[in-house]
Amino acid sequence: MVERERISAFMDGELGDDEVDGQVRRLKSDEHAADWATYHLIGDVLRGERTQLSAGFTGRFSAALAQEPTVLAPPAAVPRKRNLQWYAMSAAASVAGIAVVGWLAFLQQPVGSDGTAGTGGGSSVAAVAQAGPEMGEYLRVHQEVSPTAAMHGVASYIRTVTTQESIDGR
Amino acid sequence: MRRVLVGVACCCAAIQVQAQVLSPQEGLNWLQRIAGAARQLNYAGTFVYQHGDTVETSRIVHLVEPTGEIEKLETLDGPRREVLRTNDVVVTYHPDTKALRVDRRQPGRSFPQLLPDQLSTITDHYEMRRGELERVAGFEAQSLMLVPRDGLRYGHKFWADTATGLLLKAKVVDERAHAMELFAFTQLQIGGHISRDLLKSGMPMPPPLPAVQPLPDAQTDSGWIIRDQPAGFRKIMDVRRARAGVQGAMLTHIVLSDGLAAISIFIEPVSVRARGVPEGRLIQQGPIHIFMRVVGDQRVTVLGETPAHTVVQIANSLVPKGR
Repeated sequence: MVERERISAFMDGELGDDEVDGQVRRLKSDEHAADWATYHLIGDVLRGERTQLSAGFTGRFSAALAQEPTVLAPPAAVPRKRNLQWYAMSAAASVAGIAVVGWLAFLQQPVGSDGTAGTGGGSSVAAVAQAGPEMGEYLRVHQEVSPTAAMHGVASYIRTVTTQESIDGR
Repeated sequence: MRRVLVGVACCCAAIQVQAQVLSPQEGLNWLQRIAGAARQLNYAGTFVYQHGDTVETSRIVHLVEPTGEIEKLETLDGPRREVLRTNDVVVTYHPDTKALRVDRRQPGRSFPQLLPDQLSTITDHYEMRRGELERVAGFEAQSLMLVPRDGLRYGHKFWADTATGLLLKAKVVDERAHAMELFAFTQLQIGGHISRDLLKSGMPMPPPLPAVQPLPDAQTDSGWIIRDQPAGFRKIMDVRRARAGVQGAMLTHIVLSDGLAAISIFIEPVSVRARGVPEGRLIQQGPIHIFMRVVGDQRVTVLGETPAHTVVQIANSLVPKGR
C-alpha cells in the first residue's frame, strides 16, 4: 500500500490496530502531514464546509503552541464527539471517490439451530437491526448482476438507497 | 387420488380461463423486450416502491443521448437521496449530508448480455403466463406471470406497456402469494420532449471519478464448492474484485442464477473488518435475503432475491475445495 492509500485507509478507520502507531508517527513528517490536511480540505469542500483557515495555519499554530507554558492539571472529561469518525471517514473516502453513504437498516430473523429459516414474510421477522456499510456495497454489486434489476432500469437502485439511516442514526 | 387429480385439473382449467400459458420463446421475447425498453426509451415519471410496511415515492428520468444513457433516481419521501447513472458510472448522493460515492459498473455485465444462454433455462423453472390487459398509470399494460415450479424461488408478475414494452409495474410474491416487493409507476411520460433540466442534481460539483481505477475483475475459479446447490441455479460468474473502501482488499464474488433470480456469494478474509454484520442471522430486505457465516478464516455472505431457505442452503454447503 502506498503512503497516500495508507493515510486514506487510516482516515477511514481501516488500518489495523498494530499499524496505527506507525501511521501516526509518519503523519508527523511534513510531507505526509500536508497530504493529511489536503484530504480533509477536499472533504470539507465537497460537503460545502470549507473552513476559513489560511495555508500554513497548522505550522504557525504548532509554533505558537510550543511557546505556551505547560499547565500541569488533571484533564477534564470531554465527551467524545460522535460525528468525528464519520467526518474523517467521508473526507478520505471522497478523495478516492468512494464515500460510504450510510448504514442500511434490515429486518432480521433468527435461523434455527438446524440452519433452516422461515420462508420470509413479515410475520416471522423477529427484530430490526442495523448492518454495516459492506451490506450496501454487496447490494450494489449484486444489483449489477440481477436480471430483475435490469428490467427496472435505474428504478432498481431504490433497493440500495431505501431504508438508509441518516448519518446520526448510526 | 382421483379426487386430487380432478382438483388439479379444475385448477388448471381455472388458470387457463384467466391466463394463457406462453411458449418459452414468447415468454423470453417479452422479457427481452422489457429489458430493452428500460435502456432504449426516453421516459420520466414517478413511481412507488413498497417492501414490507414501507412505501416510498421516487422520481425517475431516463434519456438516451448520443453519448449514451443518462438516468436519475431521486427519492421524494424521507431523507433526500439521488442516484445518477451515466453509462457505467453510478453516483449516489445524499444532499443532506453531502456524502457521495461513485461506482463504476463493469460494461457488459448486466442482463441480458450476462445470461444469453441462461435465458432459455428460465422456462425450466418458471411457467410463463400471459394475463389480462390492465391499466397502469394511464397506460394499457399487458400482465405477465412467472410462476415458480418449486419452492426455491419467488413468483413474479410484470405489467409492461403494450406499445413500448416499458415495465410499468412489477411485483415479487412468495409461495403464499404475499407481495414481497412492488414497483409501480403512478405517473409517466414515455418519449416526446423530456427536459434535460430534470437531470439536474444538487451535487456541488461534477463528481470526481475514482482516482485509482479498480483492478480489473479476474475471472477465476475461486476454489469454493457448493455441495448442495439448489436445483436450477447455475454458476454464471466467479470473479475476484477490488473491495471499495478498503485499499488492497480483494473480494471473491460468485453469482448463481436460474435466469431470473440471482444469488451473490461474497467471500473475504475475516481479517477485513466487518462493521456490524451479524453472523448466523438472516437479514431480509423486501425479497432479498442475506445470510453470513464464517468458514475457517473466511467470511461468507450469501445474498439473493430468493426465499430464505435457498440462501441459507447455499451458505451452509459452501466449502473450500479439498476439505
